[in-house]
Amino acid sequence: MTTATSPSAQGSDPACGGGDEAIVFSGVHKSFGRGDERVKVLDGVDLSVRRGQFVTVIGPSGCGKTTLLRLAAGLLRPDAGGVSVFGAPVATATEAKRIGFVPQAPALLPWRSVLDNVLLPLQVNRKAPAPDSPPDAVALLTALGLGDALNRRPRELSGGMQQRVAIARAFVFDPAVLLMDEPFAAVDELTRESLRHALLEIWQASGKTVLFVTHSVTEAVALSDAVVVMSATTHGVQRVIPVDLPRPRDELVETTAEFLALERELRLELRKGSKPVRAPR
Amino acid sequence: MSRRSLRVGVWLPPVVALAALVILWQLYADHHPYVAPRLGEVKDQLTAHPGLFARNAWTTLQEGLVGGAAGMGAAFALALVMFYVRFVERALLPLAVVLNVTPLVAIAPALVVAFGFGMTPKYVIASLLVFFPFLVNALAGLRDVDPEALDLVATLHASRAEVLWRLRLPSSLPYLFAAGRICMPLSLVGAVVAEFVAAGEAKGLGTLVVTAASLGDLGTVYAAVVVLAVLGVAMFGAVVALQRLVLGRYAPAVGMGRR
Repeated sequence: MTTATSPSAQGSDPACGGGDEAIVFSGVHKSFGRGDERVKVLDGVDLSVRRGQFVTVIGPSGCGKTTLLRLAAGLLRPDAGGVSVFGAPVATATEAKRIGFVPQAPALLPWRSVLDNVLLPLQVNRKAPAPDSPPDAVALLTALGLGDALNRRPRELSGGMQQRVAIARAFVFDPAVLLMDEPFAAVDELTRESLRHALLEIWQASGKTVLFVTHSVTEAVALSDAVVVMSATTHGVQRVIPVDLPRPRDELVETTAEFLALERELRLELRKGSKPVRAPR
Repeated sequence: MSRRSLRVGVWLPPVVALAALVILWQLYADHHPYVAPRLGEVKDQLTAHPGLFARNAWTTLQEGLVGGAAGMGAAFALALVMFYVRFVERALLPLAVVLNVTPLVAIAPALVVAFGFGMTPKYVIASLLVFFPFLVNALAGLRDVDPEALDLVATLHASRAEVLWRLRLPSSLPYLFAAGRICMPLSLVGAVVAEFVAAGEAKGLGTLVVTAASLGDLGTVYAAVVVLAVLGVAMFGAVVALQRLVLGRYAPAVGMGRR
C-alpha cells in the first residue's frame, strides 16, 4: 500500500479504513479494449490518500492517471481490486454527493448563466443529504473573481474564467472529495498560474481531500502535499514524493530553493518512468 | 457606408431575380394562356374572392397544424422510448428508415377509403409526413449531449429523469427546431395532397386547386398556390421566431441558420 502523504502512516487495510483514509485504491487493475487490442492501463495499483490532503497525480501520457481519477469518480469500474471513498464503495459516495468532479473541459451548459451553471449540482439528486453549511454560490463566484459575471453566458467568458466557474460548481455542494482531471490543461501559462492560486485559496480553508491529475511539474509541486508519480512501463505508482512546503503558498513559493529542488527531483523521477525513446533505424 | 452597400448587396439580387422571373412569366403567359395565367388574373382572383381563399386557407392551415403537431408529438414520444429502450430502437429504426424514404402520400387514397372525406385522413397524412424527419432529429438531439457534462452529473448520481430534463432536453432543442422548420411546411404538403384525393365535402386549398383546374381556371389555381406559399412562409417564420425566443439564450451558433 502506497500512502500518498507520509509513508509511515498506516491504513494498510482499506477494508476497515473509515478513519484517516479518504480515497483508497487497492490492487486495482484496469484494461481497455478486447482481444489483441487489449491495452493494460493500470496493473495492480495501491494508493491511499489521506483525509484533507491535496494529492496530485503526474506521469507520462498513457500511464493511466486519468483512468485512476475516473475510477475514483465511479465513471469506470476496476477489472480487479477495489476503490473506496471513506471506507465505502465509490457508488455510496456519489449517491451521497460527497465527490466533486472537475472534468478536463469546463463542461458548462451553454443555455445557463454562470450562476445557474454553478447551481446545477444542487438541482440533481436532491435525496442526498444537504451539506451542513453550504457555501453561497454568489460568494464562491465572487471569491473566484467572477462577481461581475453571474448572469453572463459561458460563451462570453474566456477559457480561464470558464474553468473558474467549473471550480465553483465543484465547491458549491461542499463535497468532501474533489477529483480534478487536468482542469487547467487548456489554458495559457499565466492563466494557469492565477487559476492555481485561486484554487489554493478557496481550498485552503475547506478541508477537502483533493486528487488532482496534471501534466505540469510546477503545478504538481505548487499545489500538493504529495505528488504521485505514475509509470507508463509498469502501469502503476512509481513513487510518491512528499511536498513539505509551508502553507498558505503564494506565487513567491515557486521561486524558493526548496521548490526548485522538488521540481528537479520530480523531473528526474518522471524521466525514469517514461518509455525509452528509440531513434528510428 | 460599407454597411449600406452591404445591405443593398443583400437585398438587390433577390429583387432583381424576382423582377426578371415576373417579366419572363408574363411574356410566356401572353403566348401560352393555358399553361400559365397572367399574373393580373391571379391577382384579380385573390381580390375578387378574398373570403373564399381565406376560408379554404384556414381549413388547410388547420389540417396542417393539427396533423403536423400530432405527428411531431408522436415522433418525439417514440424517440424517447427508442432512446431509453434499446430493443425498441433496434426493432423499429430500420423500419423507420425505410418508411422515411417511401413517398407516403401514395397511401392517401387508401386513407380516404378508411376514414372517409372528413378531416381525419388529412390529419393522418400530414402527421405521417412529418413523423420520420422529426423522429430522426429528435433521436440525434437526445444523443448529442456534451459527454463531459454527462460525466459530471453521473458523479452527482443524477437520476435518468434529471439527466433528461436538465441535459438531454435542452441539448436537443436546436435539433427539434431544425426539424420543426422542415416539418411545419411539410405538414401543409400532406394536407393539400389529402385534399386532392378527397375533394369532397371538405374545403381546403387543395380541393380548390383540383376543382379550379378541372374547369381550366388557372388564375384560381395559381392564386391558391400563392396563398399556400404564404402559409408555408408563415409557418417557417413562426418556427424561426419561436426558436429565437427559446434559444436566444443559447450560443447563437447552435442550430441557427444552417446555411
